[in-house]
Amino acid sequence: MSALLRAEDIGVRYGGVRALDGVSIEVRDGEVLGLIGPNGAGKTTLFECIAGFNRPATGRITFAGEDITSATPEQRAARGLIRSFQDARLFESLTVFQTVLLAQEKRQPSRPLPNVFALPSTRRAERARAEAADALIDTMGLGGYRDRLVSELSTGTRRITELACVLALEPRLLLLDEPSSGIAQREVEALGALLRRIKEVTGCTMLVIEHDMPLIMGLADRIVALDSGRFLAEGSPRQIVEHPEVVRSYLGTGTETVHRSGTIRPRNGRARRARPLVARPAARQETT
Amino acid sequence: MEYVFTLHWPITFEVPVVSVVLGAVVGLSYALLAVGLILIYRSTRVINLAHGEMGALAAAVVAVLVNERGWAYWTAALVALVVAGFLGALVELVIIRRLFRAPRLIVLVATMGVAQLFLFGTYFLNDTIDNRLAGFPSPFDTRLTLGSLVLQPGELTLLVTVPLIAAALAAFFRFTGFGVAVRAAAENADSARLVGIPTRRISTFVWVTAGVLSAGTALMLAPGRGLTVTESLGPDLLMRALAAAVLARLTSLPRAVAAGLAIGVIEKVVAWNYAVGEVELVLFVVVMAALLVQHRGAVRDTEASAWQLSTLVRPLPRAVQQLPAVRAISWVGLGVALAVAVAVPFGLSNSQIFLLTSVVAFAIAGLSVTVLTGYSGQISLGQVAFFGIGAAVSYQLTVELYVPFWMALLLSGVAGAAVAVLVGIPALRIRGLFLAVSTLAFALVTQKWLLGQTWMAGPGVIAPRPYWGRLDFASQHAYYNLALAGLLVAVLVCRNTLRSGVGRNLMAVRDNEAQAAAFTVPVVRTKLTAFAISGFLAAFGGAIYGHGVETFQVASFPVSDSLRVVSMTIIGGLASIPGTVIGAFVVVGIDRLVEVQYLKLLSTSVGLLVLLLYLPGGIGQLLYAGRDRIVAVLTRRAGIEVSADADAPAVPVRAEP
Repeated sequence: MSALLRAEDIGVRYGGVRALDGVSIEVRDGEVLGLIGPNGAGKTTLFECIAGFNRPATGRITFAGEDITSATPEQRAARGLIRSFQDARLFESLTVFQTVLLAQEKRQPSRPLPNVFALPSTRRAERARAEAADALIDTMGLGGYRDRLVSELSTGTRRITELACVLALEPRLLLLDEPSSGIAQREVEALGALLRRIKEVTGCTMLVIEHDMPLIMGLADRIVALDSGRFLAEGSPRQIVEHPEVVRSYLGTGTETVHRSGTIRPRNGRARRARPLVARPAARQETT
Repeated sequence: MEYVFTLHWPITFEVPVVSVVLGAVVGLSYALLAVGLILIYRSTRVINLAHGEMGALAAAVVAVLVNERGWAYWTAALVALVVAGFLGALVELVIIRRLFRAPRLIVLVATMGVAQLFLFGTYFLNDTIDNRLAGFPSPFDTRLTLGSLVLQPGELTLLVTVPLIAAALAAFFRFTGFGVAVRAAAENADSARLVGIPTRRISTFVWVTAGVLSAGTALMLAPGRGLTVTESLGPDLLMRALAAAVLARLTSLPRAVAAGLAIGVIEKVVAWNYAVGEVELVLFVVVMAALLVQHRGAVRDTEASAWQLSTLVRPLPRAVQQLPAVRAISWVGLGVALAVAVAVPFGLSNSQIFLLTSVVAFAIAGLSVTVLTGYSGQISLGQVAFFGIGAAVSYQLTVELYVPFWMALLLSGVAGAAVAVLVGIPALRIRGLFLAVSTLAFALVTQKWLLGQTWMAGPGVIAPRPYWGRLDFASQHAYYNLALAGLLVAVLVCRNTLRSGVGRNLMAVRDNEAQAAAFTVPVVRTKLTAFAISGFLAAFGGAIYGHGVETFQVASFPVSDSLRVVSMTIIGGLASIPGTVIGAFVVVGIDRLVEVQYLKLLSTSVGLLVLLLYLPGGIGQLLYAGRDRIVAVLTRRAGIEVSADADAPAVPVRAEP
């Protein structure tokens, strides 16, 4: 498999802190690459660099053979480098329907002048967008929420809305920032299936930041672990969970992080390791 | 001792010592005002447009007490300082505190209302003074003569006290526990409260301090400026103080003093060499350069999301939306409004009809704010500049170039759009209140320099009304109908914008710029589009206004009108088209109907403040409530079950899409 995205020697500083210190990763065409690491490891920073929301001090990013180091986020998105946001805040004053309509901008951008003077082309384009949006809303089972304001929805519903938009954006490489964040534990398995289905339908490559180990292990072909802004390890999910460095810095020695809750064994050792999954959302908040 | 340093190349430029000294003195007054502005900004995150007026009112108190009651100067000054502190506390307790969670734009407009209210108080007090010849009282009679320059007692006090006050305040914020608490509260009110800092009391304290500072400045400036201090404490002075504050990144007090000094000196030296207009041009360039150079990363963008509407309009469900009766509501509303608007002038006098014409023209300007601020979330305090540009361009096109009237209207709109895009380019980097400062500077430079050029309005022009064959628009009534047609065009432009992809893009970029970019929405182009539409509308309205008043000059477009245009949009509900039109009617109508100058101020300011406090969604909120009621009736008749699905399952995750 060839490399779809290559980020080489990426370095970012926030004041005196090195958020990323010469990290290189490669996403191969068609794979799902997981990105894990403790809070402050630099996962989200790396993500922001790849998606164009953070300009790295050093390094080079190429996507599909093109150098995109200085491209704007919207230029990258137009090339199929699509990202999700951890909080899935979307747009407070738009409805679900309007949000999915907005995602049609990639296929069918609005043109200001015809819009302002309501030329016939505006109405035609708007109708085509509405049809596509409604189809997506039905596919994702969002029909009951169609005319609700996004700001009134739970994080989970907003996440599904965002994924509906992702489908409209036709990703070549989909960057997912903690898709399970804010979603109830019992729904994470369904989320995994949904993500696999999205990959199947769009044929995209994925780069996923995720703290939920069962989800990422079921999803990823390969996992990269970061720690304190540096590359830590790389390998198959199986190799990663057994990698001594990863275990030491991130997973801990308890097995409950790796397996679903319900299979929690009696606690051994420090309380941090035996953290039950239900209590995790609070601990999982990334400081960005 | 008239020392003049002269630069001969590349241009002849003289730097007289006298101008430098005078510049330093006025610069210190800017510095002191800037310090007050910074204090308020640090505690409330708003630019206090009423800052100068707080002090002016206190100065009027001194004038009344000394000139009329025969009080000793120092007693009167002490009373005035107490009054100013009290006013600061009052503003904070009654208005600012209640708007703690409101968008900063609303707070900004509230300070505008406060400014007008204080202005009313000042006029009222000044009116009670009979002994006008005595001039403004001064503490002592020492004067310092430097060649042709005579420094008044107040100016001498400025020279001594300002550096002392700035140093004392800077030390206070750096070394005292309370000072650090003030800074903490400004940095992050929620966290400060969590660690036990009484943020509210701190906010009151800061407003009291700012009131006293402002009063001090006014008292020192007043002896040189005469009794009517207020007129000279208008937008010009505010702009210079703001410029100094912005150069100090709205944080550093010593830098504010240095910046104030620099601005004062630049102003006086440029004024020596050129005309007044050029001074504004130079200041505008300085402010823009400062904002552009320093902004990124200098001032953290805490108000990024604070520019949204205060109330969200709940959209109608699709099934309801598609009812023919529901779809007809807005068209029926528009039809009724138009019928009323066409019918009203019959039976009115010519001057009343002219009043309606200006309401219509200002409503168009108000709609330009609806697009820019309501849809796109970008604040502009300079809309009247585009208004004036539209009027001047349309005059030039019709009278000097013989362009047909309708085409001139359109082209002046295009000119407005082009200028607005130029003004908007810095806005890509400047946000929120900083954008308010830069657009205010633009309005000033337009009024003082651009419009005065002979290729714009020059010393004043006569813009005739058009006639097309047998259709003559010379009469007030006929021209009113023409203006009304213009308003209809503007309303449709707004509505089309709101209901199409471009409007959705505007709102998306306003709500969440990063997410919009991730959806491939071109952020830069979208923001500039908002400026272009807004500039088009404002200039279009200005062209209609220009041919409506027929004679206009630079003074026809005072900067304070920009503030009024914003307030009519806020009164209307910020994103509501019919609300804005009604808002224009309220603001312009009341203004022209109330005869006494200062009662105008009272009615508009009190009206604005009451509305902000008790009906933050403006008139639009009432209109939408009415719409929902009508829709509810129609829906029930159509037998549609609207499920209140608030309790629906939280996540409709489906395994198979």
